[in-house]
Amino acid sequence: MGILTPLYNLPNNVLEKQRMYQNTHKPIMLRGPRSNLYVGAYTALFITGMLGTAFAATSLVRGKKTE
Amino acid sequence: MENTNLIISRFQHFPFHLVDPSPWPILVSFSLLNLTIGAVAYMHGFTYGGYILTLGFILTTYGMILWFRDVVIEASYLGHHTKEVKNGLMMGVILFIISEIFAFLSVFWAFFHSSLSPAIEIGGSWPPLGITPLDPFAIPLLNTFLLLSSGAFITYGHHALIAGNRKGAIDGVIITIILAVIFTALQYFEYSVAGFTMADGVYGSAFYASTGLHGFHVIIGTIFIGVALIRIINYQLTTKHHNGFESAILYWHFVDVVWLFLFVAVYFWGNT
Repeated sequence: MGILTPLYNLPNNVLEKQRMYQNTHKPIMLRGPRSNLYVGAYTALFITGMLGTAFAATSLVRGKKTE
Repeated sequence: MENTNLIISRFQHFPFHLVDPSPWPILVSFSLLNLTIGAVAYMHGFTYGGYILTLGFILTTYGMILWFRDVVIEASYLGHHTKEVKNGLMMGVILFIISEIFAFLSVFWAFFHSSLSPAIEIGGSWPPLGITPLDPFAIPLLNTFLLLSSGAFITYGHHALIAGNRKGAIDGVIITIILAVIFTALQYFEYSVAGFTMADGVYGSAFYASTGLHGFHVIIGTIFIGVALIRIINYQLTTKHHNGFESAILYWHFVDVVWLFLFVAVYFWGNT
């Protein structure tokens, strides 16, 4: 399929990435180039989610529905 | 395709993967707590229930993506997936598919329980009185051909990958995904024009529970194959080392076989 030619001919960066990922002792989730951003965004969402969960659990226990 | 397998035996004298400490099991567990509490709050009409449910869904999906990203790094860039580790992973996938077989068995059991000796309340017949079933030889037969063809194309893609034919592997997997998306679109269309709903007695419940569970599996399988496609494009899967792709293929064939049973039992036998 001609439209896919760029995909067939992409450069192979696996060896460079193997060197990059093996050249550090950071936790695996923080080894990539944009890992801090991804994990930071997740942490922010997680904190918000836990606050929401605590709010919802409290509402459920108190039985307080939408007014 | 270039062989990028690492020689891990130079660095450790056993073939097993001692995983690094990971935050994802506990974080994803709490995300699931967020999802379930949000679902309860939403379904019972509590304040902000919808927002908390949406957040739980995003958090669970995002956590899974980051977790699987770590597994891909361990496999393709750190060389932890030795032959022995691959064996363990494949056994896990096979056990998971066996558990899926039993999940579908329970749905089929419910269907046959109600359809083999229809209760007097539904007219003593199957399909029940007043239900106009779908024609099995219209969209369902077309969907059968689509799914069987997708199974053939994914096998083509798999053998192309093994033979080192990158173009064939990418083409085969892309055509599989296109067929899968058409299947899902046709199922959505058929649901939207069907003359009965899930609330229309046991027929609607059995029909939508069985075909809906299958449809959900098709969507998951499509994502599974999509991840394998991205990994093929990124040269992460090699001729001898493509466990994720083989797991996706196994899962896809399972979904395919379940559809054949659904077509014969629910669409054909159950409608005539």
